[in-house]
Amino acid sequence: MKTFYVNARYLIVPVMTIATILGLFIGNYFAWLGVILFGLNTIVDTLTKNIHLRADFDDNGNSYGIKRLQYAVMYLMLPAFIFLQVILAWRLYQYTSVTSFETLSFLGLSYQSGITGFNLIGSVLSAGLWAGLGIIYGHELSHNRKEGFLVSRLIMALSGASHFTYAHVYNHHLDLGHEDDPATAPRGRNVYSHAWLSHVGQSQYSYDLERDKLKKQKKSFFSLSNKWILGYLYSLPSILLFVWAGGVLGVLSLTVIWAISNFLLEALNFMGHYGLIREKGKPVEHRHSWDNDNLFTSWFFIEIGRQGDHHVRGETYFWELDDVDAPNYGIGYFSLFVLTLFPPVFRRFTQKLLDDWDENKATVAEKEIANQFKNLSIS
Amino acid sequence: MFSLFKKKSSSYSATLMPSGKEIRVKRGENLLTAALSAGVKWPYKCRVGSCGTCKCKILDGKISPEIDFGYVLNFDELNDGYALACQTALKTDIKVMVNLKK
Amino acid sequence: MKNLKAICAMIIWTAFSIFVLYSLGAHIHYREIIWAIPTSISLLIVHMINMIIYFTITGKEPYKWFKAS
Repeated sequence: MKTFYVNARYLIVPVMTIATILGLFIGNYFAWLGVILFGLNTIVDTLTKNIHLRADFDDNGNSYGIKRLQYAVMYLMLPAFIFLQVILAWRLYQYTSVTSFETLSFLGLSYQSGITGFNLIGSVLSAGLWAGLGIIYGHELSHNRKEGFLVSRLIMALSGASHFTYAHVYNHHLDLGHEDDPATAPRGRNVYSHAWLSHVGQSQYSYDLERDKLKKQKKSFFSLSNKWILGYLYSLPSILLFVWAGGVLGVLSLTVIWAISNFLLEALNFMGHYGLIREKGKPVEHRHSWDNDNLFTSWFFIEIGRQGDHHVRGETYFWELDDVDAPNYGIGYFSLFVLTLFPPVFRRFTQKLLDDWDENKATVAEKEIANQFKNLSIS
Repeated sequence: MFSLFKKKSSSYSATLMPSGKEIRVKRGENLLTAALSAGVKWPYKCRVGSCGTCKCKILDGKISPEIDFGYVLNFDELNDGYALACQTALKTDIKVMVNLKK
Repeated sequence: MKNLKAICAMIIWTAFSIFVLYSLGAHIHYREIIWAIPTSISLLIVHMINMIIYFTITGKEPYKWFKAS
């Protein structure tokens, strides 16, 4: 029973992704299902903010997580997210072809053929939000298996962010808490500018990494050995699908999806390390990451919120990550995400937390850096 | 992913040189985690294959890199059989040289 | 300042590229695969060049936590 519970609880995103796909397929107002689910999640996350569980192990210290099952689910999310884009492209095709409205049936499921502009907007928003949530699998797979690394790249490519997989492993894990890591948000930055800077900064890191590597190998920058170029090529099928299906509207829709999904990805980076400081060259410790690990956030985000443990034990499977007394926001990711959308509110919320960190967790050198922010009236 | 039909051992041995200490590495487990679990003070930092602190030289046996070592190890190291322990799974028993004094 | 320069350069490049695609009629012929493929490749290249424009103009400046006075 425990084994079932530990493994089933991480299926929230797959189930809701399928629901979103079905909503797009059924059409009409169901196209907004993805947006509604996102809103509902925010409410549930807020309601469960005080429920906090530890990682589950049996009496022999073995985890209840079934690796093959969890990996199968993660790998299957790639075709799921591809299908999400295909269904949306189908709706775009219908809209631009001015398909007439009628109720049809497929395998016993009734769906509306044809779509209004209003519901097309719902479809695009739903697809963008759930493509963005797909990054949790892109993140997890970047760490554990060589095939997983490629699957991670392909999942991220659906959002035009294939560079994430390299930048996350080779840059973020090495340089977090320092300005050399574009994914770490310094004090005073807001989530909007961070989304842009972090996205481009990680792409730049991957670009520089490949340029230097190919120079050493005496290979041309313009080759398929260039993982930066290859990463963008992985996004070409998505672009082609939306260009063909919707023309200008298709391109605009894909732009919106990429904007939303990358914003969600970078918001996670923003929340995960906001304002925390690490002296360059010093080991990464639990205190260099924020944890968000209330019940719903933990289950929904497959323990991405256990950043403290993850950054010290990067090879650990997500179901084994635990509370390590890392700095904790005390609320879940959905709730915190809402706060980040209002920068002055977010800064007021984190003020006390950062003051506490400076006082009780920072080293002398880290405190000096924190004081530099204070001197600039940033905290 | 494609070697489903080969019979695999549930664990392999890794002999650490120069000490000669032998540790068991479970199938699918990485060399660094196995060493740390066995109480070996193997040097490490990032544990995700990006810093190179855990690098070691494979003297004998076959390993399976979990990540491209080429971003951290240089040409000479790659040609000499160096690997990143945190991203190394074993395919056979191995003999490995590691500087534990780092 | 460099950030603003880079964004302006990106806008100019994107606008120019869209103008070229529009002039060729890509927005009309998109349903024909012989048009859709090169259009998609062009858009991808536009995006990648935008990234390079930003990297080249701004360098590491936007990422410095404390700007040099």
